[in-house]
This record gives sequence, C-alpha cells and structure tokens, in this order.
Amino acid sequence: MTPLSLRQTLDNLLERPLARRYLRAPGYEPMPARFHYNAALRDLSIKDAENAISHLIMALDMERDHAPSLHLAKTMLFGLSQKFHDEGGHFYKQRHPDLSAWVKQLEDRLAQKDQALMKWQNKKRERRIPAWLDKLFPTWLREYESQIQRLTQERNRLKDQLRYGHKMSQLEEFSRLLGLILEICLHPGRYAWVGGPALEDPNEQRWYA
Amino acid sequence: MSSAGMLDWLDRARDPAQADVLTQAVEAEWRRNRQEGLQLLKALYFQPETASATRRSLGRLMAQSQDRQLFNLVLGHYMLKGSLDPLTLVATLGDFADPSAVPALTSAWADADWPERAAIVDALSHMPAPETIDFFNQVFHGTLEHSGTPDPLWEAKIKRRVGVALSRFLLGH
Repeated sequence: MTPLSLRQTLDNLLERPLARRYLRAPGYEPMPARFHYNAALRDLSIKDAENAISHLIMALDMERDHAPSLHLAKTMLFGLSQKFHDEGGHFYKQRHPDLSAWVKQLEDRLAQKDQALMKWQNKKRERRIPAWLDKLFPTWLREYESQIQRLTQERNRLKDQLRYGHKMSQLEEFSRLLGLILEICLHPGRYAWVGGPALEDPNEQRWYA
Repeated sequence: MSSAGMLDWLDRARDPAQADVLTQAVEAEWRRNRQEGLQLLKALYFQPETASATRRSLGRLMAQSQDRQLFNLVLGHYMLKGSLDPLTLVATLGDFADPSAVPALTSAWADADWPERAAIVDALSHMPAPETIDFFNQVFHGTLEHSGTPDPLWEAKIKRRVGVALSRFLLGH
C-alpha cells in the first residue's frame, strides 16, 4: 500500500494553531532525513522541543522509516511521560482532564484578580486624607490594605498555578504530537481514511490519459 | 606551604569522615589565595590515597573554580584509566558540565561496567549537546555495542536515567 505523507496526514488531523506551529515549511530545498534529524538534536540541546519536533516531522516525512528519528521520537515520548508523572501531572489530569481548558480558566481568574487589585489600589490612592485624620480614623486604610494584601496573595498563588499549568499543558501537547507521529509512521493503515493525496507510486499503472 | 603542612592535608584527605570539613578548609585557602588554593586542591584530588568521598567533595569545589587546567587533568586521568576511581572522575566531569568531555565519556561506554555507565549518563545529563542526545537515543534503544554481560536490572535503571536526563533537555530543569 502506498504510504501517506506524514505532513499531510498531520495537517488533516491537527487543530489549526498546532498545525501552523509544527508543520512549518523548511524554507530550503528538500534535505535528507539525516539532516533534519541532526537539526532536531541541535534544537534539543538548546531545549527547543517545539522546533525539534518540527524537524522530526520533516525527517520522517522524507523517510518514513528513518530509524534514528523514530528512535528519537520514542525516547522523547518516554522522557516526557516520565517528567509528567514525576511532576504530579497525573493527579491534575484526574481533576482537570482538559489541561489547556484549566490553563484558560486560570488565566481568566488571574485577569479578574488583577482588575480587582487595581480597583482597590486606585481607591486607596484616591481617598487621600491628611495624615493626622488618618491617625484618628485608621479603619478605612487598614481595610484597604488588608484587601490589597489578600488579593496580592491570591494573585501570586494563581500565577504559580498558571506557571505549573502551562508546563503540564506543554508536556501533554508534546506527548500527544509525538504519539501521533509514531502511530502514523508505524501503523499507516490506521490513517488511510485521512483525506489528502497519497504519495504517487511510479509503478502504478494509469488507465486514463 | 611547608612540607609538614602538606603532609597534614594529605593525611586528612585519607579519612572519608573529614570530606566536608576538609573541602571547606580547602575552599577557604582558595578564597584567600587562588593560586595556592588550586595547587592544594590539585594535590589532594589526584593523590591516590585520598578517600573517594573526599575526592568527590573536592571535585565539586574544583568544578566551581572552572579552571581549565584542572578540567583537562581530570579528563586526561579518566581517558588514561589510571589508578583513580573512575566513578569519581566521571562525576567530577559532570560537575564541570563542559561538553568537550562528551566524546571521552561516550567512547568509554563500550568497556565500562554498569555502575560506570550509569555515572556516564548522569554526567552527560549536565552537558546538553547534539552528540549527547544522539548518544542517549542509542542507549535508550540498546543500539550501542558494549562488552560485558547484559543485566536487565541495570539496563532498566539506566533507561530511566536517560529518560530523566532527556526530559531536562526537553523543558529545562
């Protein structure tokens, strides 16, 4: 059976933003798989996993069974799963099955906290009274400061959660993509239903003009 | 430094219980006079009778100095397979985190024993380089030739360490 193009299969399966990020055109003439594999190694050595995955896609697009690239994809997948587990990602997955939705929720809550914090800070700034009066009636100032402190603590907690959420979400995205790449390369028949022209087999006989 | 003083240092280096105290004393000497401190560090580290724990602790201090000559000496000792404990030498090379040690470490894999191989993986995990990742890839898939008997337990341990090391390269520590 004529194998499908990896790039075209991924183009049909991935969401648009992901496809735009990972299925970049190389910008130079087609190079052998080994070239893209070496580029992936260079990317990983500077901790650029996104570009490394793009180069792996290019390598496997050129040569579906390029062993070092397939091995690297498997090794990366193993490393990512291990990191996800070690960082407690599976606990969060139980509470938030869709990690990117959870990250979006955190971002919205953080934006609301920022707005509330700014409101209280403005209130405190605007309500300027002489210092001697402030000493007689300290209550309003204490209340404002306590609200600002509470909101700042909540905001810092949310920022920590968001940082963690981004990391886990990114790990999940990389794992999903690598898993998909491996499955398409190792079991191309499972993706025969995907639209897009198959690679032309030069030995295939044409019956039309 | 007098010869009596040096003998005292060398004696203390033989006792593993004094590893931390000795290292702190050497560090104090180094901060007082860098040249003399590094000479002392070199003498203690490469003395064959120095305890492994002491050498390990001194190795961390040596890596902090980032002294090129010391790094080359450690690398040379490792490559020549001298009398010093190879695990400590590998660990010190890992502390230096200098990618120029990568070829020596990867080429030592074939003839090393399993504990040394695990130490090589740990050391290389601090040296992000394309050759390191290619090496990890081969180790993970067992495509590297090596001497010695297969050991499934060690192989699984090393595979896990490779996974951990690679995950650092993927997203940082």
